[in-house]
Amino acid sequence: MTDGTNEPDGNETERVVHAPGSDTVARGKANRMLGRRPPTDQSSSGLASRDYQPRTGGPELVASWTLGPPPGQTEPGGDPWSLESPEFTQLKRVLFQLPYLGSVDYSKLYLNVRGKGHVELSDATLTLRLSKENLSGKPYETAVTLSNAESAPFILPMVEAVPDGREYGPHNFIGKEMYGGVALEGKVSDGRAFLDQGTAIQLWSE
Amino acid sequence: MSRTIGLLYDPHMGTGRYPHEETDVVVRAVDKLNDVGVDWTVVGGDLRLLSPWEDETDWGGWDGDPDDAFYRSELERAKRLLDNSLESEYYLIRGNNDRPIDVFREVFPEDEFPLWYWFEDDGARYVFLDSNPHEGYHVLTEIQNFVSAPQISMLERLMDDDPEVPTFVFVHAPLAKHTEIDDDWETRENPYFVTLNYPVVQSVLERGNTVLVNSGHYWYDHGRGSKVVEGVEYVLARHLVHLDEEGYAGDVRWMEVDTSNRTAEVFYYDVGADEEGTITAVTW
Repeated sequence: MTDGTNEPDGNETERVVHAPGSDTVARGKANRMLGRRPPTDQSSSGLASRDYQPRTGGPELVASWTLGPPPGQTEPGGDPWSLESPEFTQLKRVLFQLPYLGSVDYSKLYLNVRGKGHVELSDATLTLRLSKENLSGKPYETAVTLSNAESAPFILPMVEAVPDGREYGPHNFIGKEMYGGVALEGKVSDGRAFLDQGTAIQLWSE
Repeated sequence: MSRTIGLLYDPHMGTGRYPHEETDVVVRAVDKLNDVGVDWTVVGGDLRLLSPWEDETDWGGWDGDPDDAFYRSELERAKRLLDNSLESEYYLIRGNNDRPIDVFREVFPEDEFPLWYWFEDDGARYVFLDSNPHEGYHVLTEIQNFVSAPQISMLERLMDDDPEVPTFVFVHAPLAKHTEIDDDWETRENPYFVTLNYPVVQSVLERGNTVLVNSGHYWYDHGRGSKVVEGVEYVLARHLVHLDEEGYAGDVRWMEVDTSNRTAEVFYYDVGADEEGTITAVTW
């Protein structure tokens, strides 16, 4: 333990603070050297984890929730989902929990749906709608319309998964651990449509 | 040579709204650090008030505070105390209460107070982590603490670039489950009290010569202690301020690091009992 006095002046050394964000910041005696040089001239290890930098690697898949087997399927198999209703019917609903939602390190998250599907008759139309619930901020909704008779891949545009905001309070009826959700719905006009079991709601990082 | 480092965690400065606000506890804690004569101080997060009423800790749930006036006034009051009463230079990390980030940034600008960083001093390395990298408004008890990927990357680089230098880590939320001071740690409101990805952080810290990790966050009069995991010691003291009990006063800590003799010791001062002692002493 100390004797209750400060160290003598001769014991003072300059502390150089290393942090992300900017080059140099002066605060008191500290000469703060901030920011990182590019990893390529620093990392002799070749380990990718050491070279991680946010916002530079492109979108990465954070989570994926597939449709899975359709209702009524009792045996293992790859039966597709069959849709007939002309009204929107919910196919998949996901409730988020941290760390999937929230502005983690200030990087945004994005939602989309990708999968495979087709309609039974060529004049039939399948509409898929992705909508978010219980989230404040921008109320995104996006949809795709398919009319191909042969099964083919599709992808919905990415929409921003905004963090919860001040309006969160009134929306806590879905449960205290939940932060909001996203739902995938589908409807068909003039026929039937089919979706592959692997069709998924996906969450992407920036 | 040695360094004496103040550890002022969880001051929870209020602005007079509640009858049990114990600003005096914080003042006495600061006075103690001044008496000890610390070389510099870690302000370990949760500067803002901890309300005993859940509906008032729901971010944005305060009617009559549309302009974040309460948040701002509490952070400003905390900064005034640190600037005017604490005699040493201080380094700040954020706690889960220190939001919203835009108000925090008004009072503690980014260029002066980075969220996570490190420096070397007298032959030791000191690393400051942000265990609550959230930006928006959250219900306090529903957030989880975690160390973000860029910070883990920084730790990896530090540990691998120089695995020998003794390293001391400061973080708000515990990086270990302190079942030695609370055997109910595993279950009681589990995600709130421990850093979600603590096994990852621990494994990185173990790659270098990490000596001690000091954290706060775990609330109320739960006791004090330390836990050794794979050669790294994780220290936790009693929460300094809590409003549920009138007259409650917890611990303020300080740490003495002697790189010549390869020793470090963490002391506590029980503000309420006016007693001090040692939490742990380690060598490396």
